[in-house]
Amino acid sequence: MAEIEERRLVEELAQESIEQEARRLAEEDAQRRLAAEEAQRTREDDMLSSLASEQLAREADRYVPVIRDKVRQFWVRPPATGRDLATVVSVRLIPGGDVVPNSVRVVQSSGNTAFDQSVVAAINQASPLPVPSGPVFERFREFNFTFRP
Amino acid sequence: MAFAVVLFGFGLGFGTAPAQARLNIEVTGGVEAAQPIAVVPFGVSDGLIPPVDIAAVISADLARTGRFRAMPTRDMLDMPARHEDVDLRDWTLLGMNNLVIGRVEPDGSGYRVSFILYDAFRGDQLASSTLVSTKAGMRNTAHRISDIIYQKLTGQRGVAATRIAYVTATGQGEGQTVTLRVADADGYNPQTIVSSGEPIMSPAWSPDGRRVAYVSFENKRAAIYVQELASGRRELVASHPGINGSPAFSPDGRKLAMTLSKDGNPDIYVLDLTSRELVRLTDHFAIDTEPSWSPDGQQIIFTSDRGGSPQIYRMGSGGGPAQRISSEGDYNARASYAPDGRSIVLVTRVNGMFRIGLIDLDRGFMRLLSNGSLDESPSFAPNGSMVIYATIHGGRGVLAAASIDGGGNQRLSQDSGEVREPAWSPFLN
Repeated sequence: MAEIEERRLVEELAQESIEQEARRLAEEDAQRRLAAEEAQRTREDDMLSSLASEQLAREADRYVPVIRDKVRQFWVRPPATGRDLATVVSVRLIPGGDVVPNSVRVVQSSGNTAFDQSVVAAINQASPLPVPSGPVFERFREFNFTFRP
Repeated sequence: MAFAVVLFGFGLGFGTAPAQARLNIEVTGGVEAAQPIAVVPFGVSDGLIPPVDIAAVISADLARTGRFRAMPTRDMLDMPARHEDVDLRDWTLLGMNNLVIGRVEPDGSGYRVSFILYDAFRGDQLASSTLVSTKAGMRNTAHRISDIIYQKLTGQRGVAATRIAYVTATGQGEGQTVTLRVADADGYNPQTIVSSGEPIMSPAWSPDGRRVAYVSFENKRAAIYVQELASGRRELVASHPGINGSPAFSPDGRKLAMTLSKDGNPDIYVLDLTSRELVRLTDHFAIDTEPSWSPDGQQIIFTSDRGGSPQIYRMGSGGGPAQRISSEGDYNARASYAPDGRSIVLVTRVNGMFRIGLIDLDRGFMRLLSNGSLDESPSFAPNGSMVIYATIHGGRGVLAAASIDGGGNQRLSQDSGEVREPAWSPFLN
């Protein structure tokens, strides 16, 4: 009787540990799955946001030639400066495309004052620049121009 | 496997969307043209009447370079003379890149002239200075301000405060008076250096701008003189039998190249002004004349008809073999070097017309700088940006200047009479 009772107890204990182990494994499994799902969601989110920013960038790209053309129309550069000059300027815009007064800064001078000035003048005179509205505008809130003869 | 592919896809997605770089828009082209600048009439103290409209002189100087377009005074909405009265927005709205203001104040028996050069769009003061001036030196003071502005904006030294020498003739035949004059680069303020009833020719500046060599026939035959401008003292340096012509100072000022025919036909000689040693550089049965030194003093170019027509040749400044360097046309003469030694200006005949040409010595080709019918005596400005020459306008000889980089030709103001043989001075300080 006692023997039977003892075996039953041993079996119960064994059963219990097996079930425990199974539960543990199941939990681990679930956690792994959750982690994998989480990772995938993160990747998808990243992808979606990068796709969105790519789309914004592409949308913004459509405005680049329009802006370039408008500025070029106002660019009167000094004679006899040589062909290898380049001036880099930064500019800040407000929504609608107006150049923020005094925001045009020479980031990299050509070394020729008159040439640099003609660049700053062109951008100021071309204001407002033809920029998109909405989230795409953010690309144009602050950006650079590089001018070459 | 499918999972791996999807992952790879994600990876690609990441790769094509880099961190947002700052947008940069490239702009090339534009229109090349003179830059707009406003030179406001200078303010004056009460009761002071300055002898010269300084702003007008500066505007004309800058416009003459071909690189600036000065705003007419009548288009100005405001005429500030002090910094605190300047509102740069007004000037940017008028399309001005630069603004110049200034004042003239009494200073003892003379004047004190101050000015400020602004970058109108960026609001910076690019230059400001105060110059002391005499009454007679007022135009020169204005020219010096022009040169400060020009150099600040273009990076190149200005030539407004340099001078030109030229020969002018009035009257006819027996009553003719020939005068060698030196004037400001804009043609104003002419001063007589020497005057004669006989021809005066070929003025040439010393490199320090203090002396001028010239040919005078005042003793009925040609002789070469070197004259100090400040004192008027002069020295006879060549009066050999026959031709004494075309003097040209060496870049160090110690020697004078010239044309002499004392040994037969015209050849090139070099006279050492200190030792008086005379060295013959050419010995050819053809005519060799019009020598001109390279800026480094190593070469001399000259005109010779040894090939059958007048052409430009080059030899070492100690003589030796000469090579022809003008290749186009049947008449090329009166050549001289650009200050950088990389090109020469000359007189060339095109379809029967005598015009000013520029030969690029590196590439060998010629470009015309003038469009008259009898243009002569080209001479480079010391910064190499312009060439002065003589031309015929309205039936009389006048002076004109051509911009090397395009920007057109313009006639210079001058006194009456026939004007010929201009020579542009070196930088004067």
